[in-house]
Amino acid sequence: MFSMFTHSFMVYALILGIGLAISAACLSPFLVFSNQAMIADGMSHIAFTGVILGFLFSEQPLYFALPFVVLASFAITYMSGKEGINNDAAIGVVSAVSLAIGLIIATVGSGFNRSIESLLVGSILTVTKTEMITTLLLAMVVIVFVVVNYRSLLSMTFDENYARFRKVKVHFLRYALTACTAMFVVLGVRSAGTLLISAFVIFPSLSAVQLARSFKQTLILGVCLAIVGMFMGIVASYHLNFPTGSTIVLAYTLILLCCYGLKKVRGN
Amino acid sequence: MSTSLNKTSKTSNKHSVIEVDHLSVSFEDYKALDDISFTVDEHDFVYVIGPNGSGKSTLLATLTGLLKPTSGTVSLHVDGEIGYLPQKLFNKRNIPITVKEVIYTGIAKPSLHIKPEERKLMESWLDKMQIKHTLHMPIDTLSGGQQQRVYLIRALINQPKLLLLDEPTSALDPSFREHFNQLLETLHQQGTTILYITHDLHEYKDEGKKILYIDQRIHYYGSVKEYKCIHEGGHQHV
Repeated sequence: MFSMFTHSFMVYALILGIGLAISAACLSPFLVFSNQAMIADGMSHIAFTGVILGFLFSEQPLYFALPFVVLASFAITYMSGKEGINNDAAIGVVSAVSLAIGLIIATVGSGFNRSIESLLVGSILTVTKTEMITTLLLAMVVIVFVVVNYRSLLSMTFDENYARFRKVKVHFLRYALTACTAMFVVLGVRSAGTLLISAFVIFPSLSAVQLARSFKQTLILGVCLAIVGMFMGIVASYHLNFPTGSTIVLAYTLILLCCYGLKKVRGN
Repeated sequence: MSTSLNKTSKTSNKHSVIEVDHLSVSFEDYKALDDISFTVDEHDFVYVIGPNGSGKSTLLATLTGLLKPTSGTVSLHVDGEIGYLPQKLFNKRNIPITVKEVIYTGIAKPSLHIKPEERKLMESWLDKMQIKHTLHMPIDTLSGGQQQRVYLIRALINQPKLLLLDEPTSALDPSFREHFNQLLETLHQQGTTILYITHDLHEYKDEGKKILYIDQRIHYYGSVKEYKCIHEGGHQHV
């Protein structure tokens, strides 16, 4: 079963996948319980355009996509803070405009077909060592960010007004959280695809909350379940020859169903 | 137009803890507060009363810095922490947060993990609020009255020198209301300055306490005793 890890590309894929799983699961409760679960989905549309534009200007599209998506995520956060525009609408507006621009460029330009397919479904098995190291760095940044700001993030997620009263830097944290999510999405789009990347953010908290009894437990259990789901997904996709991103999402779904079942059993 | 929170270390006689100077707060065309000025001295206990929509909660939100004045200034000079209980209790569903974690968000200088002494402090307050058994329970499994007690603990946990309470007893049953008022009385005697929005004056002790009656503007600011005398004399507003 584990002979697959004699191939270096599989080792890279696994390490990158676990780095992504940890990053997404650490961000997950602060986004999901602030009703911002769909921000990763919106950003994946933006990342699509960012990468397309990146292909126009460079051989390394990530270097262009990263600042592009971070700036677009700031636009979403800025619009969400304005009266009369709710969060979902802000995500919808910015991501739809980005996707529209990306599709026009892809249609008018030439030579994008292969890249577009790879962007939509992802290709974790073709990641490079540089991408793996960048993802691990991202995971470390996210872990440090969450640990250092845990109480403030908890306070902001639970009761933003009270957090403001307690002088929590809500604006700064909101932008920092969005920037971390943007970086995760750009790095994750390459491996999971734009269609599936938001699942990495939504599933961990959704599964963990079925069993956890506190916010801290939800965060820690979510990280553990995400790592397990990622491992299961990558191994299964190799042996079954399924698309990796899709198989990982199915593994996450299986874990969610198990957690829900356990909750019901415990309830009875 | 500004709100300033200063932590002073005055040791002299009574000084102003709250200074409100020509404060106006507007929401588009609606003026919630119109040119109000008053001061609250340290150790004062002030009931803020007025009809619905009179600007009481707007006043408290402005004092806490959550709302910006349209014009005028608000200054707080507090030698210590400020405790605040908002009117709208946060009731987010499906967020897995325990009573312990809710109180933790109110601790002034928390560590990453809840320290044993912080836990002891929480337990002693939960005991005083008669909900000790709820420490590890999710907040959304508690009744409205129990939740209000948890939010009161969050406001009181830092032993604040200034306490801003927006209808703190609205969800409490009458017997616990009496107990809570005793607790407040003790805090007041220990030197806490209290600003307390309420609709019910009749059940509270009025010795040495003040009333701020607002309805967009200040209609009365003085002792409870005098206010009651005037009311019993048949005046609606002063």
